[in-house]
Amino acid sequence: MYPLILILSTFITHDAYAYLDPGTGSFIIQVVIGAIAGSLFFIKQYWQKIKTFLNKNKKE
Amino acid sequence: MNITNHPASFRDPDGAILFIDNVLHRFVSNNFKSKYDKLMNSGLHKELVKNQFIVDHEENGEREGGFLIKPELISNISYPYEWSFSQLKDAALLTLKIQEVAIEHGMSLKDASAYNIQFQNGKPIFIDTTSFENFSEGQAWVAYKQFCQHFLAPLALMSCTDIRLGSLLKNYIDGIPLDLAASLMPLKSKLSLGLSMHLFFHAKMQGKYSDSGISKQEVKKIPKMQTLGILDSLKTTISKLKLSTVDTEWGDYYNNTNYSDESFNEKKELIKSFSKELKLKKVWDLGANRGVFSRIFADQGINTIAWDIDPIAVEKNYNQIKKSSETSISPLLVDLTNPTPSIGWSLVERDSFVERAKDVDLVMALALIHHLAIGNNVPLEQIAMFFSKLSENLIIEFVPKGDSQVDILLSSREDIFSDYNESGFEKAFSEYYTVEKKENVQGSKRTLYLLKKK
Repeated sequence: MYPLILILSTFITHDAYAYLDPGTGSFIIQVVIGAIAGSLFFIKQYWQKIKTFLNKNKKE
Repeated sequence: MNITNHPASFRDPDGAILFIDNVLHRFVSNNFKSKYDKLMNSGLHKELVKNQFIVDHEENGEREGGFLIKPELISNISYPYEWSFSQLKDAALLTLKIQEVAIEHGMSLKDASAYNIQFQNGKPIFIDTTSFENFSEGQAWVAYKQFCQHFLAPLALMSCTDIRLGSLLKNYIDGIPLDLAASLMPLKSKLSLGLSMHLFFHAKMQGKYSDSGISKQEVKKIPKMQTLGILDSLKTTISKLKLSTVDTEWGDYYNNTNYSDESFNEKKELIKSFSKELKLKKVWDLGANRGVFSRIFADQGINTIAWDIDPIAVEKNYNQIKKSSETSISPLLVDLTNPTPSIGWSLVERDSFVERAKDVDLVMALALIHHLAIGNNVPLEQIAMFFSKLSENLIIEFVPKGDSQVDILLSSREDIFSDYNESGFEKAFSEYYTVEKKENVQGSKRTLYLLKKK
């Protein structure tokens, strides 16, 4: 567990933030799931582009 | 000039609600000025107003330490624990949409409270103009936790466990704690990638770092694609949450009442004739079910709230409103035997059911009194006293013994209600009201009254 905290601690900086307490766990999780959610989003966007392209060709 | 601060508006020092000569204003601090300018000049505000995502406002002069804006007024204030599943879902999706548009304009929501959404003209709308901060690439969403607690957790519980769990929001003013939500979710919900990440894993991470001593810090650099990915994932997860089609006790009410079509229409006509001479701006229909009778008023453009105890009835009413783009009727959830209390700090943050009845011109209580008097043992005098707190005028239907609905209530218990008859009703209500009109509802044993407060 300690190595995990150590690794995740490197994602932490010490900037000031707004009035709401964002919660440490809730901040760290965004880094962890960001990679998965970001990749899926990337694929989804490209898939949409391919679909639009194919539909366009079909119509023509 | 008489200035009073709104007691609920203390969490965010950048923008507080206050009343100047009873007119609602928002004070914007000088600290927020540069963000306000960006909101207004980047095209973000214009786009949000154009799409009716946020209330518009006008600037209204300076005040020590900042300046004032006068927002458009919301006709009815309601709270997330009074919304149906789809109302909360639409409010959640609107919040995510606003965050998306904000990021496109280099800004981000600094909070994602469900209390920043109200319903106006049948649709959700964002009301907090000072909820924006600058967005720079690499920044994690500061309101992610709040969004999951205020929206994702209750929606997931209502969808996967039990629709009634939305009422937990009454206990937890800052949203349902994620560990509690996770413990109440069925095992199979872990199969959803979205719920696994945003609810189950999120709850675990919160637990792990709850006393880590590294709070009040920010996560370093999340690429923008990942920030947008998390938003998209939240949107997909919430869009996929649906209500199971279980009908509740009341959901199928109109197919199972004591009325023929003829007497149903007759009752509508009676209500129309009773209310013809009243000058109505706001009507509360209590026990409205799906709002068939509420629409007598809403269809005339009168601001009408259709209150009901049943979350499925409120849900069906809201879906009807969306389908027909209705603008004057608002469906809300309330249990009249235990109406919405005031909650929050010092009990002044969120107003109770009764506190919000200030400007109601007419209360309507059709086919309701037997549920309160017999179903909940409330003496008729107390029912009269409660209604008299809400409005000047009351249209009420007395449902006597011998009516099949009353007989069902009495079938499994001893009849201890000797005063529950028409004369007992009139005597009890005469303490608070005078009878203006009284008619029998044809084809039934029921009587309809128009009462005026003494």
